[in-house]
Amino acid sequence: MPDIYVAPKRKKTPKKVRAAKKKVEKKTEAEKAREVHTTNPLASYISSPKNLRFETQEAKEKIILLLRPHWVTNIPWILLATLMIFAPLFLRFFPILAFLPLRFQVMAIIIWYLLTIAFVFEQFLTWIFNVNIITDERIIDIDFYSLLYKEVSDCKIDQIQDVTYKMGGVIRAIFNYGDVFIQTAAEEPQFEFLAVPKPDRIAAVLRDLIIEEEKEKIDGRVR
Amino acid sequence: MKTPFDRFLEFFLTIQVWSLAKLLVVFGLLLYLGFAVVVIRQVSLMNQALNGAFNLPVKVVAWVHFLLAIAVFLLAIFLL
Repeated sequence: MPDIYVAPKRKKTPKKVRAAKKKVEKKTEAEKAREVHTTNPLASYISSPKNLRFETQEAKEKIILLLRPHWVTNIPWILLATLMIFAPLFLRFFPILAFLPLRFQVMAIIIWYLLTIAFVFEQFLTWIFNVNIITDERIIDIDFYSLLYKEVSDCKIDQIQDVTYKMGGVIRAIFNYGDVFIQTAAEEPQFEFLAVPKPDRIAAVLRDLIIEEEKEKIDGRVR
Repeated sequence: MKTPFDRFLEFFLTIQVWSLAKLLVVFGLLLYLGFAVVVIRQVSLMNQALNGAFNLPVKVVAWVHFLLAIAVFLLAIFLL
């Protein structure tokens, strides 16, 4: 009897290819972060940045993630700065400087704009330089509290004891950002990565790095 | 008729007050100039801590801000 339907023969994929495919599928978050290079230096979530170094970086140490607070956290000060830029226009309707001689009025407006520039610049600096760094060996928290006071804390990956992340609220859920808390056995008992994007992925990267570090210890490849 | 107290007030409101105001503004701007210098120092510290592509623009802005502060200080001296 003739066959009504003959299914086409499937080509058998070689074992090596299948194994390679499996390996690709099983890539850890840390490996993914190592492979994707973010080129925008102003991004909040930068994976494997090129041409970026930090003060205490060792020669062989590689940055896996550089994190800043999500750009949404800048909106309040940007709105305030916009208001400050347009504030002198309201003097037409509310002439509160009218009692001053003209030269003082001009000077007051110039000084106002100088202060606005300083405000914007300070806020921008605070955002761009308060960073959290995850390398293949350590986590580093760089904080600038005031004009001349900075605090740099670091902790080795194998000293991390627990990683927790929190996401709450409408805006945080929409823009996918939150806080990551890292309990450590280092001098600094807790590291806080506040308002960072993709906290779930960051926690996953840290967990992968801890596992990698443990494997390295077992294999005796510890640097 | 103006009382001596009115004249006293008028004297301070017309001449002395504005000279004093100028002095205060210039002093304030001098302090601001100090702040602009601190900003430059701060930027250099920050650049040391994190060295990336944004370092040069940030440094330029800090210096422009300092030059602006000098310009406004001089303007206050000559304009007021």
